[in-house]
Amino acid sequence: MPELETISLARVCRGDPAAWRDFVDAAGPVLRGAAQRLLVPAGRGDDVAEVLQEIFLRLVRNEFRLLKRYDPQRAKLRTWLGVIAASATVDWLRRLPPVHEALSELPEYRLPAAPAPADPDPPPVEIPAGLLSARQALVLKLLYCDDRDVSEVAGLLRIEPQTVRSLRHKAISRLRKALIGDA
Amino acid sequence: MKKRDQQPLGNLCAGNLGVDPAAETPDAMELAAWFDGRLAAAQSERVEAQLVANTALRQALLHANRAEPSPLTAWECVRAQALVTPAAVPTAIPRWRYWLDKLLQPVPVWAMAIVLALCGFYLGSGLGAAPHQREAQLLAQILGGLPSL
Repeated sequence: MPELETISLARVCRGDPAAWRDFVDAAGPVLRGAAQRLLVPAGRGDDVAEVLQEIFLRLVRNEFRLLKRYDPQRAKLRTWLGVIAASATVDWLRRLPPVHEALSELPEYRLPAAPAPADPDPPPVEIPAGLLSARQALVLKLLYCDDRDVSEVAGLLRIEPQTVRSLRHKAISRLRKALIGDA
Repeated sequence: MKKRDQQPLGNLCAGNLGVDPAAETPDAMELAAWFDGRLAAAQSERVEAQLVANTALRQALLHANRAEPSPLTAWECVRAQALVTPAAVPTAIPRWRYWLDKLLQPVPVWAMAIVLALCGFYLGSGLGAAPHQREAQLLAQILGGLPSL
């Protein structure tokens, strides 16, 4: 199987069938892995083949317009393909019609055991604009809303785990100061 | 830090944490450049603000970024490869040629229609030979063959 970084995208974009076959062999697993990662938790694992074809179609459509936009100076091809696959998969999931099931037709084991206790979420916090930098806010979102751990966030942002802890500490200190006061 | 610890600060996940998201969603190239750490500080700030505000986008990208490659099945491979074949690749043609093609496309259809019409007229002995005329001719032939009384 050819390596992804050795594929000549210029030849692919000229419509060379041999170059396209190499591209499919090399890029297909990356695209499939990304699509599968999003589809399986959504209960749509059977749609992988269709979504994959949709992604390839996006790349080919209008004389390879999307593929021609890739700039090797700005990002790795693998990263860019991951973003394209994520975007196409999210679009696919959004297009699916909502599933309606009558409660009376559900088997007993799928019915909720008991109503959840009333535990309303606390109201959203009104945070003054500009209090946190985008990076501090992103670190808080990743840690507390997406349940990522420090090492994951560090890997994603390409910074040291210690820097993540520092960003978190500074962000929370600022929030405390603004919302609770210096006490 | 556990989820409990954020309760004094209220529901952090509901808002943008005071960050103003970018007016436009960054394109795929910009997001990929951000993932690879190749954006300038100002651009990076803009992408991160968008990721703070757009939970669906953030989670989709996080999943995709952590995905392991998955081999294609034979069927998936054949379908994808079939998207680009020598016949399927469109070639750029000049505009005048495009309009000429458009103009000439109906010509064979019209020619076929005229040929069919001419054949029909020929078989029917021309436009003037209406069915009742032909019946009268036939009757005259029959009557002409009978002996006179």
